[in-house]
Amino acid sequence: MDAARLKQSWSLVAEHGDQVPLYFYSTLFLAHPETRQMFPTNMAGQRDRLVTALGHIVSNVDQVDRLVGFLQDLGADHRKFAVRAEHYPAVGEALLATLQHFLAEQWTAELAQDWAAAYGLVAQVMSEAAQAAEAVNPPWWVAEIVAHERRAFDVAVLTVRPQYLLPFTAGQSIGVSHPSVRSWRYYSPANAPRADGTLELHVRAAPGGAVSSRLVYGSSVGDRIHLAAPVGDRLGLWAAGSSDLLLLASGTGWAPVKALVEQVAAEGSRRRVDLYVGARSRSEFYDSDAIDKLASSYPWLAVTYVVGADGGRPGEFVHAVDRALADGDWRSRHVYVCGSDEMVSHAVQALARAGYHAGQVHHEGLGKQWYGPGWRTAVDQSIVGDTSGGGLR
Amino acid sequence: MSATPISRYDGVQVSGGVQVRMTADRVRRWEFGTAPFARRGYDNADVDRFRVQVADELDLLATQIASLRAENERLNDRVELHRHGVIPSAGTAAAKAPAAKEVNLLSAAQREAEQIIAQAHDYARRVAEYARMQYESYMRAAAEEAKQEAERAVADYRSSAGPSFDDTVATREALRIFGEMMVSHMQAAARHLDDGSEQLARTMDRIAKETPGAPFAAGPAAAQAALPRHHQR
Repeated sequence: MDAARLKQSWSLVAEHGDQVPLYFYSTLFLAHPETRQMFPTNMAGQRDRLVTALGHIVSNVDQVDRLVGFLQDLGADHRKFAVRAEHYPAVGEALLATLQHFLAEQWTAELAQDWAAAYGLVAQVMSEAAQAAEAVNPPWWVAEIVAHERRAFDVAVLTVRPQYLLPFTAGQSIGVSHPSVRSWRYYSPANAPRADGTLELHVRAAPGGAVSSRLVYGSSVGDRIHLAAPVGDRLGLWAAGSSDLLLLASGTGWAPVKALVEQVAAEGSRRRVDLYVGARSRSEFYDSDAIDKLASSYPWLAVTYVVGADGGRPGEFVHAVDRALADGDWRSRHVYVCGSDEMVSHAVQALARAGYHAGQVHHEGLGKQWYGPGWRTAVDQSIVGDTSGGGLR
Repeated sequence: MSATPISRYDGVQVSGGVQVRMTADRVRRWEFGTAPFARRGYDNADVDRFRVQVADELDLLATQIASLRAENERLNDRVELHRHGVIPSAGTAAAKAPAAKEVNLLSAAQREAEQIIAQAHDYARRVAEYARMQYESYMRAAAEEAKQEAERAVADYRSSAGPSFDDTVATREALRIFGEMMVSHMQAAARHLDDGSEQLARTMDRIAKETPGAPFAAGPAAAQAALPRHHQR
């Protein structure tokens, strides 16, 4: 296998942009129509992901040891899409046909062999990892919605009960899908692990979000949804040692922060926790009953609500971090931030300017959602391997 | 060509309880019994027995070869699959691969579907944003009006009460008026929303009837569920 030749041919193909994955999927669906129903109706996001993943694989093809972890995760994870061994050759055929189409007369027998060999390796690592993962956990968990509360126009709080225990730690995210939508979103459970295994999910219906709209508007108690293995550990409490905490949350970014508060309560460590919860307007504090209850139950917890938009001063927006930094000096603490990408990046910048070092500020990745185009391809930057995603709210 | 895959086959001649394999060599060396009564030729019974056995043997071998060939093909494919991830030699792959024209046609259809979906989402987003702004300005205006009304009531009270003016009474009165005004505004808004929701329910019903496979199979109950909880009766 000639890595340089492989990379060079890929760069030629990649110049065609979105045409490439479009051609690939159309070829796959025409040759194997039964695979169409494994994908969502809207394939736009899917195409980005394919190209990003392929690009990542090709650019690291001569450093197989760096790829293996990525591919193993990918293979184990693809089980939740009901991918089976026989799908791998079908994908390989479509890939080769696509490359051949775009390379036209530059497609040679040697190149075909290179690509076939490279894909064979990828398919082998992925399917072996998928098989190995079978021994560890199921491809997905079926869970029943046991409570569904609309808390705002576009926010619902769901309690779901998986049929089998789904182990996770506070701050992690789990995959969520509705059987009818064929796509997955990641949500952080808003609770520390419970004895009865139930999970609380805070879902905001995103414009155009098939899963979130379905969960908020189109599902009710008794419905079955699918959950996938937890990912991410950047918001884990372990990173903070035993130090006191400053928690900054906005919108449904409150969910993992709530889990952290519960976790602190469960570990009984008596650390001090100051929580700043932000929302655009007063009516958007969708979980204030629970927040007030936590605040009154735990003397070590202090809560401040921060209303972002003030009717009297339109155009100005106060973030939770602005209020927190105005209130005091928290530099001896570990800071956890969760909210929209915009909120998180604002908070991270403000904290850095105020002299907080990166090691004490914890947040999920920016700009790359779980299953966004950059999902898991940023392995190089992270210590733990799979935490490139985040910002799911 | 090695014969190792055929470790055992069932074509056996049982003679004296000992299993003897029928081989080409044995066929060549087979000695037929001599015919009685000095007739020329072999013993017919002997020959028949031999022929039947050879025929059976060949049948068996033929089926075994066929199944081994299939098995071999399968294993070869697996090896190729492991080595390349695809079956390049299948030849069928090239024949089966859809033509670029077909592929592009499907791609165009997919693109168009996505555009329609995106337009629908964009429209929904604009409607929601518009509604949010309407709501906020309505609330602001209602609060402002209620506040003015309350202030007027306090001023009236102040001028009529003269020296007996009581701050607590004034505050209570102001709050009462403010509250009543807000309640009446909210009731008006709720009536307005009720009209809207009924219209929405009718629209959803109509859509559900027109599109049998619609994911949000509506009906009044579903339409009701799609409304905020303060609005469900």
